[in-house]
Amino acid sequence: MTPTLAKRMRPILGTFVEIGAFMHDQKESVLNQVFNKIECIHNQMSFHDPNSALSILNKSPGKWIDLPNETLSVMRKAKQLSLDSDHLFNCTLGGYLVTKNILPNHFVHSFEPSGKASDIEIRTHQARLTAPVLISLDGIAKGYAVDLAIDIMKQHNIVAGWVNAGGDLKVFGDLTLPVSQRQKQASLQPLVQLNNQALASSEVHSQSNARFPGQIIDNTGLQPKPGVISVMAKDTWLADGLTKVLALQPESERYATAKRFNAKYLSSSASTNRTTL
Amino acid sequence: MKQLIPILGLPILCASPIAYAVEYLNEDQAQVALFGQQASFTPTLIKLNEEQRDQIEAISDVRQRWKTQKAWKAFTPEKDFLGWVIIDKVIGKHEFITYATAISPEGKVLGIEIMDYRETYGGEVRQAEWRNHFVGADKTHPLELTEDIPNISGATLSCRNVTNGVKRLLALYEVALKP
Repeated sequence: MTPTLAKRMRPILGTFVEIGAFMHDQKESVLNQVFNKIECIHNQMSFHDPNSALSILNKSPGKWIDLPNETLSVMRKAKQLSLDSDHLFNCTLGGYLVTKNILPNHFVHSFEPSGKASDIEIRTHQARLTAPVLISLDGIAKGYAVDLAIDIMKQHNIVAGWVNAGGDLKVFGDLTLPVSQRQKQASLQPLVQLNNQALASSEVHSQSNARFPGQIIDNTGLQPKPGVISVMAKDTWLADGLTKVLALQPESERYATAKRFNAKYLSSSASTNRTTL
Repeated sequence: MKQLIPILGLPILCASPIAYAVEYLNEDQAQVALFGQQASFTPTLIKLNEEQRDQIEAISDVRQRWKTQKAWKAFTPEKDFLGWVIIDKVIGKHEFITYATAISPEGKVLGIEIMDYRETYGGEVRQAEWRNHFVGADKTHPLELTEDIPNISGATLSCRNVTNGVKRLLALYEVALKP
């Protein structure tokens, strides 16, 4: 029997999340599980929610805090990516974003605007901030949620499919998915065709607005040049994180940096190329 | 390193006023997605007078454009009332979205499903007519998509329009549905 395609879209993570699944039986419960997993990851690592696992860590510098495995996994990845990218990716900029009113301030203690990967210590089931920095995992948590959602789909014998969480997407199985790139100046351009790969995009813009939330800044609080950065990689968390790294580099260095991580930088002019990874 | 399956033919670029349009669920499918296969549904058209529409705006800060709102009451096989399915539309700068919301008898949101999603950018858009979207390894049973629709990456779009729409529907519950 040929599997049939079920597609669903829901407004979660502040954006639209789409699931496409080729299934032999159309089971709503499986699709619900996939959406629930994405929402659960988001809730754990929400900076905005004062009671999320991440917020509890941020409120308790110097103390070992029990954290869910997924949060610890993302923190390990964030820490490693910070080290590997010479801190172009930096998950300790929460304090700076709070002082700029981009992230909410629910802290009674005084905090540093930014820190380094070494300010985070991780051991089994626990993490500790050795300096009063505020961690923001927004840079890779959405991508990580997509990766876990794809794992659930595979576990439930979904033959092939994709998850697209606000432009961070992963495709698996025997299918090739065409992807267009949305640019801020009201247009869509064909970008690439994906097959067993992940793609993430981030837009750099001068200030956050209601239609396009989010912001990329560097360690000194300076803004990179506006534009859309797309990266293709094996996993979505890495593609997601690398968009932030490449956004802070000149165009000429982006291809080489992506290659160092076994990823590929897609400039929007590469729209009609058949790209291999 | 994964080699992409080679696909014959380059995409053809053409101008199109509709950049992107996907239908996810029709009305029947949305009802089932929100309340399950076992539920039964009774159509009910919610009519709102001027005063009720003003009240909805006062509560939610969102204007109730429509004078009527299409809805169904959902019941268990034992005829117990499960809640409402309300169909609504939101219009953004470039987005046109139809969605269904399930609201419990107590006025809580039980679920939201997008039914129809469009982004329109006027004549300036170049759209690829992608060929052979889904190429199966077993050529006798390739996975095929019936529509020519790409996914979208790029600047992350906020879902605030839908969130505000749901806020408005909760105000509509207070004004017109609450027992």
